[in-house]
Amino acid sequence: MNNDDTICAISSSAGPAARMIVRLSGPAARAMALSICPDLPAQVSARRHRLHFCDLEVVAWVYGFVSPRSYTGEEMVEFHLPGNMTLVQLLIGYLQRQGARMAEPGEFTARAYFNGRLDLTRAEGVAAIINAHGERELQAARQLLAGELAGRLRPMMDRLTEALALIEAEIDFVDEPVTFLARPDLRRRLDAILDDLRNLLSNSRRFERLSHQPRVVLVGRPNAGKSTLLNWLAGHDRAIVSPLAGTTRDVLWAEVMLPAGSIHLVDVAGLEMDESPESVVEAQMREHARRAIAEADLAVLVQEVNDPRPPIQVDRPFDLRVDTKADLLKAPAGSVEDAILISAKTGLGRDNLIGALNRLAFAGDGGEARLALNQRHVQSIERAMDHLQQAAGMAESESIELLALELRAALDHLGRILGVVSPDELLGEIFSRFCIGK
Amino acid sequence: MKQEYDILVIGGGHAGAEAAWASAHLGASVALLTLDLSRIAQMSCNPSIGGLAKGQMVREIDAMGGLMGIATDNTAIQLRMLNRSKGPAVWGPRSQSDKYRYAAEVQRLLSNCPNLDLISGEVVEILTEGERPAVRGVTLADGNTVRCRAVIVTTGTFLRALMHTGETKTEGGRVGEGSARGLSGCLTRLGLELGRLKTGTPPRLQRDSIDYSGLEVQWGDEHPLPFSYLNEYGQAGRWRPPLPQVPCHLSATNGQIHQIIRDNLHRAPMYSGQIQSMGPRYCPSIEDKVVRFADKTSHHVFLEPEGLDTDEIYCNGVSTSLPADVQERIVRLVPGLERVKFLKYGYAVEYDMVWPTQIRATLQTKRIAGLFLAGQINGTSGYEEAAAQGLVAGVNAAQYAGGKECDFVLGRDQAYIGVMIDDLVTKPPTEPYRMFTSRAEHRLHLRNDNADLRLTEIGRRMGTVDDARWTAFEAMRAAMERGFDLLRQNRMDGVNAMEWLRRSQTDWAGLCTLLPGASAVDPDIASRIEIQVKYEGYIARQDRQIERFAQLENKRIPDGLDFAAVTGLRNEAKVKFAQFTPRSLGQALRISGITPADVTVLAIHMDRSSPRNATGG
Repeated sequence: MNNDDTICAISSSAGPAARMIVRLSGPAARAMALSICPDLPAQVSARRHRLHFCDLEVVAWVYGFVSPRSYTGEEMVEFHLPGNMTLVQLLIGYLQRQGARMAEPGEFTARAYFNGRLDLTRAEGVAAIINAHGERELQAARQLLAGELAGRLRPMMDRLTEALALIEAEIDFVDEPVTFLARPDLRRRLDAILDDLRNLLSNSRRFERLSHQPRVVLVGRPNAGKSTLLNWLAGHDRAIVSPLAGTTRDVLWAEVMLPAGSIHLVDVAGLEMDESPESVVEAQMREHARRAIAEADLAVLVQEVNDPRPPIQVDRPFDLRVDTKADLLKAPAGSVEDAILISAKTGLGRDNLIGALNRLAFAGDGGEARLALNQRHVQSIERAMDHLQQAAGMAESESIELLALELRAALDHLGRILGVVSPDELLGEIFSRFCIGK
Repeated sequence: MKQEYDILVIGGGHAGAEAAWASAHLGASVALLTLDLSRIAQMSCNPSIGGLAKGQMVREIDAMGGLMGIATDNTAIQLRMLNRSKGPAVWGPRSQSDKYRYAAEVQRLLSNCPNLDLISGEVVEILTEGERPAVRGVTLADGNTVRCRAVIVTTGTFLRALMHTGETKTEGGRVGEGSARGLSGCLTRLGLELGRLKTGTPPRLQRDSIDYSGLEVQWGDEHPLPFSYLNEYGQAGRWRPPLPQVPCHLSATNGQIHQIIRDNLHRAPMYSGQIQSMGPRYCPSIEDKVVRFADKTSHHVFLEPEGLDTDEIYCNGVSTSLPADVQERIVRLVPGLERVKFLKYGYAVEYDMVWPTQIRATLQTKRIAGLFLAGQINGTSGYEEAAAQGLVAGVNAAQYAGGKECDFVLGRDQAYIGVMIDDLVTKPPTEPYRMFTSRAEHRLHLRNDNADLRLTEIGRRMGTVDDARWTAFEAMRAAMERGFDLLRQNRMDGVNAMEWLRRSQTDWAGLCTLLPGASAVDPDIASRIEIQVKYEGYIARQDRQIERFAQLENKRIPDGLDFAAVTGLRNEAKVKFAQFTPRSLGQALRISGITPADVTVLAIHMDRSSPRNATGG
């Protein structure tokens, strides 16, 4: 990674927002900012400015940071623009022409880290926030950042350090009239630490899972109104909608914001499961569709309210049924129980549908954010647990040096998250608890 | 005395003796200068050598041709293998030594050593020359000048030494001896930054004034193992210590004693503020024990003979700097010591040390070419730690004086000696540094049994291992190889005999009942093979765990790298790196206060700055 150039990126989270932030960091950041905002103060500032670029005049909040007193530790400027994607793209295009490079994912954080502005756990917390979808995930990421992981893991590490110190004392201070740690006691301590680590893992969500967008697939007969539904929920046209059956020739998707987070909504190519495919292309399309349905977290059956045929069959049960084109409904009793009746034309059932999708997609989470661990944390904790299990297994054996080896390895794996415990710290632990030395 | 030597060793303690011995064996002309020749290799404190980790270090010194192991074997009056009930990786040999015979033995070995002169005198000035100063000689207190190419300073506790017994302060590094006053000033003038440490010693009691009748007796091992491999090779456990073996006795302090100590704390220099410097936590004075562990009602007192012919008993466990009258009162309340006579009172001693951030891993100072430091001057404590540094400094000084590049540095995975020196140059000691097995991440490999397999070949390459040792070592190695062949070529219970022996429930004795050739293997060799086989799997795993670290270890940081110019490096890291000038990225990472991020930034800088640098290691 090169730290000599100036980078820029949209640093607010993707999706519609009232304000969008463009962040610029690097040696030339200030000069570039001055070219569109000549009255930017030389010191750290936060003010409204009139920006001039691409023949536009835009009023925006501009935050100027001076190295090293910035997030990245470099010269840094943030433009808080009105939430208009075109405007943001124009600004970024302008900055690129001035020599700025698009930042790679997490590159601001990496620079902050390399400039000593962040420690590893915090840096990872920030990276998680950047990628987080939805409020709950942000909350979980913020907890990680605030050191909740450290707060929970640290006491376990301290207890492990203490156990190892007592074992080391038994090795290095053999002539002392002290019983350092009875073996059954050691066994109990190790088991307790193992339990706590296990709980930590099971009560935490994997960040990967947390930041995974639920995939919801719309399944229905051709012209059942899936594409209309998709466009309706997404708020813009993603599928070409025509009254002719079989218009949707490919897997279409849109990101849909729900109250608890965003979902990945997929409209599969028109399925007519009873018929054998007429061409290779159609066979492939159907295969795509089948896979999309299998991989989805939720499957939603979309059925025209007046369609008398039985619902289409797929390899999984449906999580939700939506009856479309309610405006065409002749008799109010035609709808199936538990189905949500909607009409894109009249707006009927929209809130119902969004509420149901929201519940289903984010069910089981209790709405409460739990501690989020990333892959590195999970792996370190799991490895530490492996070694602890080994150690617990030999707690009663005479090979105390091998027991110490396992405990040391366990401690080192946890140390990869919170920082390594040095032999000096271990000795300090021993000397502070025992009267050692003749 | 000649007017010119290759190397001058200042000080005749355990570091000085080993340094002079090593460098003279490498062919350099060497003079050892000390205040009093009869005090060479004196045991100032405990009449004991070895112990956990320390014993392993003596074995390492011996494996490379040093003299401590031989002198210990020849003068031991009690030998014990500590931790015998635990795994062999943490066994540590320990001896009680006859301290007078030990010193005499080292003096005998040194006086018969070719290329070496022993000279009585005090060095007051180290002479340097040149823009980047290099050692040229020394000036003695009598005004004479001796020229040399290298100086090894091994002054122990004698630099500006001040002894405390209660309110009484006496200049000197040991009872009845002086202090090297001039040298501290000289080191400061040479630009070295000095620190101050403290250590202490217990009273010496008269043997016949002790009532042994009610005391617990502690004997050594019935079949002791020697320290020196020379006494092990081909002896098959038949080695016997040449001196008669004697016991130690065990008594204890009590509540009455603790109360008197508490009542007199204001007269203890450590508590009255008279001593400010830091003492060792692992060797607390009796007043420390009573204050810091107030809930303990009793502490052990070991009564250890200082020799066969002397009536001095070392009162181990009662290190103190309380005033003489208080010492008498408390010691006489210890069971068995009711009518004891004091030969020497306990005291604390403060002395100057040189912050070891100013030396390289070769023990040469960074600032002055040809100036080497070894032993307590680098902030360590203990005879073994000192001797090990003496060996390293002696070899490097001989290389330097011979115009070669000094490069004798042992890795943390090769020897406790390597662990110690690496610790010293990366983490300045806040208390006198003592070796513990827990400091070694490669503990399972750094064993008492295999120090020769780890180091004798290195010693041979350097020139400190003579033909006799080398021949015996090669014979031992060949015998081990034959033993391994036997295992490789036979099968037991359907597996290779090596695999069979690796199992947790098997041992060599069991092998002998099943495999005819096994009982023909020399028991010492069999024991070595068995230990190696049992640990191999764990060591391989340990090595994998430390692999990441080894990659950093091999990445050499080019000499003269301008850390201030490394972009992205935190200010603290710049300062630390400039101060410690680490040799490798691994060493950089071990500097206190340095984060992995700092080392990553440094690595990126090295990769980027020039391809020449990237291949430097």
